[in-house]
Amino acid sequence: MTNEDKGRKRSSAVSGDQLDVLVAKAKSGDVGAFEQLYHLYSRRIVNYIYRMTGSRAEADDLTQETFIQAFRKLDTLKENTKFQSWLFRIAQNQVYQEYRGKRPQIDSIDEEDGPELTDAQKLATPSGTPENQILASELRELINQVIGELPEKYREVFVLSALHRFSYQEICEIVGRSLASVKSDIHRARVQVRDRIKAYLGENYGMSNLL
Amino acid sequence: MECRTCCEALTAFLDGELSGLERRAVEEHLAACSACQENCESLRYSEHLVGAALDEMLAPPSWGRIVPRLEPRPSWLDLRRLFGWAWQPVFLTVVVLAVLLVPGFLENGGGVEDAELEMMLSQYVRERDEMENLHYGIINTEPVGWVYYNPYADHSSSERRNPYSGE
Repeated sequence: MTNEDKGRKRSSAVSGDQLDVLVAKAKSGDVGAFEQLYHLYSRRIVNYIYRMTGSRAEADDLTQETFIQAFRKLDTLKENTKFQSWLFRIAQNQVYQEYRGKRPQIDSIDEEDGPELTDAQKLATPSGTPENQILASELRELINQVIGELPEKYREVFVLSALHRFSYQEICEIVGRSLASVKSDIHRARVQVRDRIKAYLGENYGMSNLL
Repeated sequence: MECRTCCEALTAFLDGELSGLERRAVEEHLAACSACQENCESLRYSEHLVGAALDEMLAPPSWGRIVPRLEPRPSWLDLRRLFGWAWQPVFLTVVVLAVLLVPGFLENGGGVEDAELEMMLSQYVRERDEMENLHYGIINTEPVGWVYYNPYADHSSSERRNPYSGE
């Protein structure tokens, strides 16, 4: 997947110019413009924080704190088009303050009172035998667990790369590390996750339509 | 390219983060090495599974919960924010003090004790002069016609001419 593919998959809801205008308006105190930014990025932020903390309640609280901090410090953002990276940096700092050194205990997303699945999620649920559906559910739980067990510095770059499809350069800006370090950690994280999944699936590894 | 180098670069290769030269080198090696090709496919598959499992399922908190906590940026003119409920008496106090003090300040040039100070200073000078006169034996403090010896003047006359005699 090239960087262009990543960008298309990530979001094409707003262009660079539109983002520049929105952020400029928000900087001048336009709460309506900031609301639009909130609706554009809040889902990504809450899911990122959830992957880092493992708690839906904390993800909710820290997402609010992230956007409140962002509104207060909007004047410190020099390049409006880098709003997303800057916002993720604030989210990361919020997570660090709360969860430095702690491993997340991932809340199950499959609870009955959990959030309603989007249409994409429903479509992605494999049809077929109940056994396949159970396997898919267990596999999803395993993947969440494996990611939660990654060392913190591997987990943060892995989530930004695998879930949010940031480029390596953007990830460097968010986590504040060198390109070589980010590249190396992403690779090690991917290998660890791959090995765990492979060990779990055994001969089923490589089957299509598992998830 | 060695297998170890290729394996290290596989993730970046799959993410499209390699330069053109590096990507071609990896592609050439993968075409020639079945083990590395299998490794690459294995990583690609796990990336697919992870991507499907990590979809953004959580909904964010509603905007209505954020709005009350968005504080407006502080302004030095916003007295209500600075002083809270007491902004009105504080503001009135500042205005009254300004009205009372500023005109007096401008009239006196900055001090109400200048006249007294001037009087004290002149009295000091007078007393100092009297003390000096006593010390040097100066009795007559009337000004004299000349106070220095002019070497170019005509001093041939034994008697000095009194310039004040009217002659």
